[in-house]
Amino acid sequence: MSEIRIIGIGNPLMGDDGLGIAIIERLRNLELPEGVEVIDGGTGGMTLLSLIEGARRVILVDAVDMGKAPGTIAQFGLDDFLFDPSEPVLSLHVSGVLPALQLGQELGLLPPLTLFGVQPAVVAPGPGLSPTATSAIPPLLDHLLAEIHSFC
Amino acid sequence: MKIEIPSLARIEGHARLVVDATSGELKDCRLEIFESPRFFEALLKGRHYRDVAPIIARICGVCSNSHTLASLAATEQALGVEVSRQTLDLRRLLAYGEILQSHLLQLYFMAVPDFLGVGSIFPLAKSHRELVMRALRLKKLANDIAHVVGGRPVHPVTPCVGGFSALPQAQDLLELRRRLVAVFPDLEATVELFASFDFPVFERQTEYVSLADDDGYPLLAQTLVSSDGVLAYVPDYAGVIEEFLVPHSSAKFARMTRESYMVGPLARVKTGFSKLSPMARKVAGAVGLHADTVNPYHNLLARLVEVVHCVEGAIHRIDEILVAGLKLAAVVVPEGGGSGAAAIEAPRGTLFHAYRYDQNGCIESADCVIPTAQNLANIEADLRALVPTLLDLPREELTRRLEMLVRAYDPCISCSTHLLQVHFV
Repeated sequence: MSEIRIIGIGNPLMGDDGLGIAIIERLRNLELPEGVEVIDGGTGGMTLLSLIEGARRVILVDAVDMGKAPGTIAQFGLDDFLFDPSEPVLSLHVSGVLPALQLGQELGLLPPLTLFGVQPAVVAPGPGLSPTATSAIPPLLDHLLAEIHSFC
Repeated sequence: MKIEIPSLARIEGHARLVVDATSGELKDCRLEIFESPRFFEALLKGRHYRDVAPIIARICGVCSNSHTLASLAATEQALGVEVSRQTLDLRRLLAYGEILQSHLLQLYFMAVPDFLGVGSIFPLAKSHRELVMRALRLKKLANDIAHVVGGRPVHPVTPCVGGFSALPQAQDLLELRRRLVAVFPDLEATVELFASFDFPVFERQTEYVSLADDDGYPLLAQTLVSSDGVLAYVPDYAGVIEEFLVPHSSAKFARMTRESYMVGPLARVKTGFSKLSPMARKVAGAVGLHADTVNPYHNLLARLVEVVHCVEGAIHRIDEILVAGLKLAAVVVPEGGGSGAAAIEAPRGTLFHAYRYDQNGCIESADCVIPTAQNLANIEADLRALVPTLLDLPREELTRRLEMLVRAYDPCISCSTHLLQVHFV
């Protein structure tokens, strides 16, 4: 059972929504410390809880609409999410990350968790990342590796 | 007086209904589905056959295995590739894993809140913790079937044209088998739960369509059948399914013999009732699901019965695979192009893929018909018939009944997209 899991979320057929998956592909080619597992989480959903279960620590990577300049990278802890079940953004659509995390939190199943979000430039049908999103990959990898090494 | 349901909760995507509550007329019914066929062909044009299924796996986050399997079978049909018995068994096992994942999610996370009178699964985390934990245990097992067979927890990577690029380990299959047997108490509790629910009574006969049951309960057959007597070879699907546009919806509707038809669990149960596993048939009896039901809400019961069928079926498939012995065979793909089509019973119903390849093995044209698109006209016909019978109900209850009806079909109307939004406060 892997100790630290890095889970990329997104859809490579929807422009910059594929960022989380692109990062996972890059990480697969790097040598990572023992006990670190890299997982392509697809578009998330409740399956995320199965992917998280049993990990000591989880790092999620996803395209996040934060209303910031495209390419902006931000780091969130669980407390940064809006955990209010009455918020419509948390209505239960199967895809996405928040409903699964919220349910995991309610059930007390979540290990310590960090989310790295990148503001996408283009989310529309079609494969491939925008130049802005592509240029966010190297700094994002640096952040992720620093985070991984801080636990190992 | 107008009742407007601007967006239906607990279905994947967005839907909007407007009901004239005086006349009982359904004024507006919009189930927005992602228009995949156009997108689909644009994505695939010029791609080599090796790359087609991995791209297709991303079309849908929920049904990526079904799309992969339909895609591989269509390519194999087009290029004249034969697959082994072992490949078919492993593909069936993978399909069972996906049907289980999808059905369990719909039953526990989408349907149960309706019957327990809560707005979503979240309140149940506190009030019915064991129920939610059971749902997650069952779903995890389903995910692990897909992981062991498909090589990855979410989008499969091992299925390829002609077979598998890597086989599961025998010990992993044995471990899955052990867990499938150990899950029976959870299944029993699930059956008891649904047997305790009162299902709305609403009857409307329609045409029921699924793959045939000639090689067992409908899943991968090459013939398509309907309750109105249609019998077609899958590659001829475009000749029997008529897709048409309606003014009030951006999505294409589909019809066969009459104004609409149903695909999905209930249609499959009707076609293949006698081919259900022994335990699944027993469960059908216990919850009162009959092959002649015309109540669309019974799609939920059909889903439950299929869950039992898939668990039992998965155990048998694993046994057959292990007894025969796992053998990684070299895949031979003949040179040249060709046309082919194939279908699979995806969790929500019959899914068709059709490709034409050029001489270099690259896609010239591609088509895909998804289950939800086929069900749209039928959902709407159900709603039109249902609304006038519910006008005496309080508005809230009427809304709930309509939402439950739409959810009974488990429409998947947001293929491909998700975007997390975070609002800073």
